[in-house]
Amino acid sequence: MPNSRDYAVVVGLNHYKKLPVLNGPINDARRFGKWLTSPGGGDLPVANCKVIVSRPNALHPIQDDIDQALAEIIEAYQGDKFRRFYFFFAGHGIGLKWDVSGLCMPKWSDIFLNAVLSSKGYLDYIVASDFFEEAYFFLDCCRNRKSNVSPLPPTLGVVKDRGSCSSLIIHATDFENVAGEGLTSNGTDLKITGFFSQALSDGLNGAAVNANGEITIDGLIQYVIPKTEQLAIAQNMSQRVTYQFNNGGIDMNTPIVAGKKQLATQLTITFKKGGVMVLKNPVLEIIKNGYVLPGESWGPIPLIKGYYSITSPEKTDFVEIDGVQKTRNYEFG
Amino acid sequence: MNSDKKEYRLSVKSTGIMSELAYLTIMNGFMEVIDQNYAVLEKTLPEGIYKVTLKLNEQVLERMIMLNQDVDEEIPTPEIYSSVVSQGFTSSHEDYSRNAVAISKQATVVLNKNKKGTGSIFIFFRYPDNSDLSRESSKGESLGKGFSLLDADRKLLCRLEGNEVKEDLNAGWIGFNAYVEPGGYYLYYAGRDKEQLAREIPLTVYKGWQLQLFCTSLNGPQFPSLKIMVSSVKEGFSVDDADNYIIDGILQKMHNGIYFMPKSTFLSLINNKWQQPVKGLLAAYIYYLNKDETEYELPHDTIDRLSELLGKDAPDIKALKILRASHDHTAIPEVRMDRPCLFLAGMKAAISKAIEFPEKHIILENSIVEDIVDKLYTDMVWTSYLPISEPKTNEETLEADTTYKGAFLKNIIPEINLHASFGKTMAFDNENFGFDLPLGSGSSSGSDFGGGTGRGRPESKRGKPKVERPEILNSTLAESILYFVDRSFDNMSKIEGVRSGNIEEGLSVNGLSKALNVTQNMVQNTINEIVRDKENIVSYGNQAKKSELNKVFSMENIDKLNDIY
Repeated sequence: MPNSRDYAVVVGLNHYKKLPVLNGPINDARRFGKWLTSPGGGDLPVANCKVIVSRPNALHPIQDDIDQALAEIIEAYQGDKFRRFYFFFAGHGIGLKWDVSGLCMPKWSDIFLNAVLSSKGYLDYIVASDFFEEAYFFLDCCRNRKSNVSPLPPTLGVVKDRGSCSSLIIHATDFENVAGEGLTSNGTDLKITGFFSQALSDGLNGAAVNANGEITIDGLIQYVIPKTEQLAIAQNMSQRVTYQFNNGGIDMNTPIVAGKKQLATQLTITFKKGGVMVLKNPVLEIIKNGYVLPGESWGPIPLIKGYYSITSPEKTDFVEIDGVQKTRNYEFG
Repeated sequence: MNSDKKEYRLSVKSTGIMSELAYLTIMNGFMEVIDQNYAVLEKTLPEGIYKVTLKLNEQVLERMIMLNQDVDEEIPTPEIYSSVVSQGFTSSHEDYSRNAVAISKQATVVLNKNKKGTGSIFIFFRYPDNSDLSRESSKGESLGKGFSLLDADRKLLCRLEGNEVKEDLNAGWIGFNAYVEPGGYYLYYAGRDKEQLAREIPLTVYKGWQLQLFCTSLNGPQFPSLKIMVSSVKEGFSVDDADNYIIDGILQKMHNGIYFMPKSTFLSLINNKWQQPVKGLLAAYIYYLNKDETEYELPHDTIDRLSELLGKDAPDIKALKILRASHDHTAIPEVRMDRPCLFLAGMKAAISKAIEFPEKHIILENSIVEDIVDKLYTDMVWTSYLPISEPKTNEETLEADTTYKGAFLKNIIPEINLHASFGKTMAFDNENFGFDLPLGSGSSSGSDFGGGTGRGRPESKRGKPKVERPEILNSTLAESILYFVDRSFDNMSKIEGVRSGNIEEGLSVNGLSKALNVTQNMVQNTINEIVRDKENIVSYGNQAKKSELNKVFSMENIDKLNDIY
């Protein structure tokens, strides 16, 4: 049964009139949209998920396109509170205050200085309008400071009194810092993605699942922060994810997704040398041991996220299973 | 999991240069964070696999631990790269260090033949590394190109070139040292191209102390690498001063928004009675900016002590008083900022409180501080900004140097706000909707302050057959104010930021100041300028193509400015 009370606006902007072309946002947005509508993910009906992307040599989308998508969601409101609103943005951005990002529209330039959406304006609208119980904002954009910019709030008016909507907003980077994109791999594909978007995707697709089969708000954050940092460092960059959580009835242990199995990675170990080998799990319990001949393999062995050890009489290797890859081959010796 | 698991002690310690600043994390076998701290961690944990990470200066080292017995793990800190040419840094080639030491002890230029200053400014720029690749890509360009030292009035003292410096183009370094009187100075950089804009860095020299600036440079200065240290004039730069490593690391963390100072460093500063000015300032800034609990308390008389040392009018002292008030939740002090701070954090604190409490007049009206409010760069811990004008010279005019003029301009997202200063030498690019290379002779007056906010504009060109583009049209502050006006007052409550101003009775200077992060005086001056130039704007609008004039500069909107109170 899909989560028909959940809605999303997902924006990915690669193309700008006066700013450098980005390579990741459209793919990142589509991937997030895919997670939202997948039964194992957000499980939204496809119609509830509005994905808006830029096109080459066009000045669209503009604010009206975003607001129209939002309006279509609000128009579906029949009086029963919706459960969740997801907002995802990947593109160029500006840091305005510690809690306000300006989300640049494709026509942004020194002339159209204010062609930026206010992250806080949109969050405030969602919270104040009280259509939703929970709001999740994921913003993968730079936050370099810029004065004299007046970011745009939604053109939709608040029609209800302030309610009790919980909200989580995760910024890809700290105020006054950049958010990067680069070649990343999820084990099977190599592509250009935003570091934050990649970490978010990995986390939501299984890497942040805890032992109870849940991806909690805290668990997602605890996964995304170091993973983003790790991806950035691999490209000689530095990026620190920040977030603000406004508790309106749920807490940080609330599952964003429940009932998920921790993803098992099928590990195959090939031994270069022969001898007695031992494979241990994260708490040093033996998973498999025995004598192997050179060139012999073990596996595939299904393993959940964690650190594992392979020991021979000569050495010990540690293998990291990140909870994202479906298969992994490891050569030992 | 087996609850009867044995438990063992896991002790992790960082060693080597900057080990006090290394951030350690222990994760269990399921990738959950168990504990984090600087320098040392000690835990008793169930048997299992653990991962320990050490983070320092954006580098991460990892160690896997098989905890089936007590483990003492020591992790040496990684190689550290810094613009400071201390011995322990990986990037410090011996040639750089040796020459830096020599130059720091002997002036390369005499600025005042009659009086040897009691302070000193020592500058050392060099390639990121001493490699053939750097030499090839530098194309023999002097690392001092475009740099000048200005006095407190922004008058040119000397350029960093020729006989004023010592340099080795092959090895890739340049050194400058001048004895100067205590007081304010500016390091001015003329810029290079659209990607490397002009920049000015305010400096303060204290009696008996040498201000030491280190920066890497290759095809232009890499400003984020700039480190400013202090040593006694007598001693000059020391390649093995242990404090340099720790200060470098603290500055690096500050650059990344992490305000941390090891207790041992803090205590040594206290024992030193804050005698080392920049270190004292740094400690105070770190303390007041840090929002987490610290292991130490800053003595209440710290700012007074620093004030005795640096003078009560020192900009950073004033900024620290503001930060202390915020930290202690006390009343904002009566201070007037008339010169920029050395530390960007001080400038930000002053600007923020000046906007929040306009009645306090924290930023002196029409001062250089007000002029740079919207021109600050934020890519390093030191205050720097797009210069408000070219430096003054004895002849009041610098030679035209068209190589650099375009460097004041930028079309992509800058860290600073571009107000299109130097209107006289800039042209509006109709095709690209931006500001492009200058057209003029480049001989704008050095005293032509504040083009961006509309003050000090040149004589208008009224009466000419064809109306020239009024300078105010290049001001994004003017455009932003009119943008608010254009959206009509009814919609103001929806606009971010104005919400915090008083909008019930219409649009106010106060509300605009808060919305735009500039002072009330800047808003008022810009409004005055627009109104004063209305005739020219309208005339220009009548003859210009649509694309040449933002529609917010309409007569209707300009007339509405009279309703702003």
